[in-house]
Amino acid sequence: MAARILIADDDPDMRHLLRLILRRRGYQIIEAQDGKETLARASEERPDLILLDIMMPRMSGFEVCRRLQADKGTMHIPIIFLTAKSDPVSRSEGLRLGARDFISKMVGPKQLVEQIERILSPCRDDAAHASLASQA
Amino acid sequence: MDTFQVLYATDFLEVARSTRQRLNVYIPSLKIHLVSPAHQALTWLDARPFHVLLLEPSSSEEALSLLQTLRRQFPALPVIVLIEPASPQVVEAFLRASAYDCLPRKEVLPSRLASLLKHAGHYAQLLRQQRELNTCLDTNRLQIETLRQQLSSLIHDLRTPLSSIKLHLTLLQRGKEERREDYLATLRREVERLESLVQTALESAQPDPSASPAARQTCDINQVVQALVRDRQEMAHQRGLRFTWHLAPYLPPVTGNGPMIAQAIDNLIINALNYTPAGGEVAVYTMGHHLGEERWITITVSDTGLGIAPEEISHLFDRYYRGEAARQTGRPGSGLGLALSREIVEAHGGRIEVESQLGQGSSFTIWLPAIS
Repeated sequence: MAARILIADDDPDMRHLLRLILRRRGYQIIEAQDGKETLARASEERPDLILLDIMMPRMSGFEVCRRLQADKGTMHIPIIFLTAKSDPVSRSEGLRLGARDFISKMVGPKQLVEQIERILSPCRDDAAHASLASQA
Repeated sequence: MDTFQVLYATDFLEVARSTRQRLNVYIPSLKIHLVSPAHQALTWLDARPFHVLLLEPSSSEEALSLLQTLRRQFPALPVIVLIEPASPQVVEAFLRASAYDCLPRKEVLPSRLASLLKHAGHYAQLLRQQRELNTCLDTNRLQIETLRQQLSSLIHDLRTPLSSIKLHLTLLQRGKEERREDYLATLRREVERLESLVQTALESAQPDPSASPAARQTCDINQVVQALVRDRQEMAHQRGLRFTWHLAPYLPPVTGNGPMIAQAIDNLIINALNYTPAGGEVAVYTMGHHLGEERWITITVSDTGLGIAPEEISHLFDRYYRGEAARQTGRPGSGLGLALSREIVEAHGGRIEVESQLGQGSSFTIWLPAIS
């Protein structure tokens, strides 16, 4: 079954580009345009991965990450922050809150897909493991 | 009168001094440099050029071996051998080893030797002129090939605005009355594009390339893309494609030749429209990027088209290469568009990247350095 990715970004152009290039790779795409919608879609849809923008209206990406990690239903979903800056403070804050990695938006589609695939592969294994563990 | 530099390499130094004097009596223009023993000829030839080598060894075997070495290192140098005894077999052996001539050392008349050295000098000169002519011919062939490629590029570039003009003229006749102004605006821009292409071609035909530097100016890439997508809307509509563009606000400008950059982007858009089946989507994005201190902008043309096999990607930007998608769709083309786009982008200090999935679509991204 195709992996499902939740793209959470308030920039419709970035969502559009990510949707186009990730669908091409066979991923199913779910979208959210602000922090609160991201929380709702994550708990309804239980995606395999969340690509989470940091600067979002209604709730920041960091707060979304903290809440998802605190919820038993969504804590197993790997979160990757999408960031426009290589800011080490934001990076360590994101990792402290439980994000798996950071992806820079300052790259082209080629590197974007490469980064996502590199991160998604072990994340999907972890998610499958966590899902089995919760059923046991 | 021509002056010939002769290297006289001998194992008989005293005799050679006297021979040199007599040779100069006959032909004063021969500049004869004596070196002894004979095998030191190689060292001298390495150090400076000579027109002819006069080789006077004491042993045939050593001289033949030296001649073979000389032939490898100085293939065009005429070598006259003076040898004793000069039996027919020995003479034949030297001639086979590509000596210019081989004469009996003790019997040769100075007048004959002087005349032979002069002829050998002329022969060396002719060989050098032949080499120079061959180099000129190679340069001319290269220039002809460059001109042929420029002509092919020009024809390729002219075709797209011409097709668009044809389409919009038809639309003026049969299209919607309320869109006449849009069609006319597109026609005007396409004619301007043609004008710019002809101007560039005229400039590149200048004898002094430095007299016609590519016009470099500040370009707003969003404006360039906006004009292009407006003019390709009808083409996308006719092909049954969803065509969208997403322009980043506050994009920094780039320095470059605007019409050429537009041509590079247009080639990507035309390809995407050509190789995306009806019902598909083509999207154009502009984005700004900070990479450390540097600012870059990207223009991405993404489609849900036929995609490119991994083994084709390395050839995509070769001139005249036409991929599987071109063969499958039978779309006419010269295989020049992507090669030209890359040449233009690289001339502006940028690069093009491709991300593709066979059967699913492709994204081509142009990276251009922006003004910080």
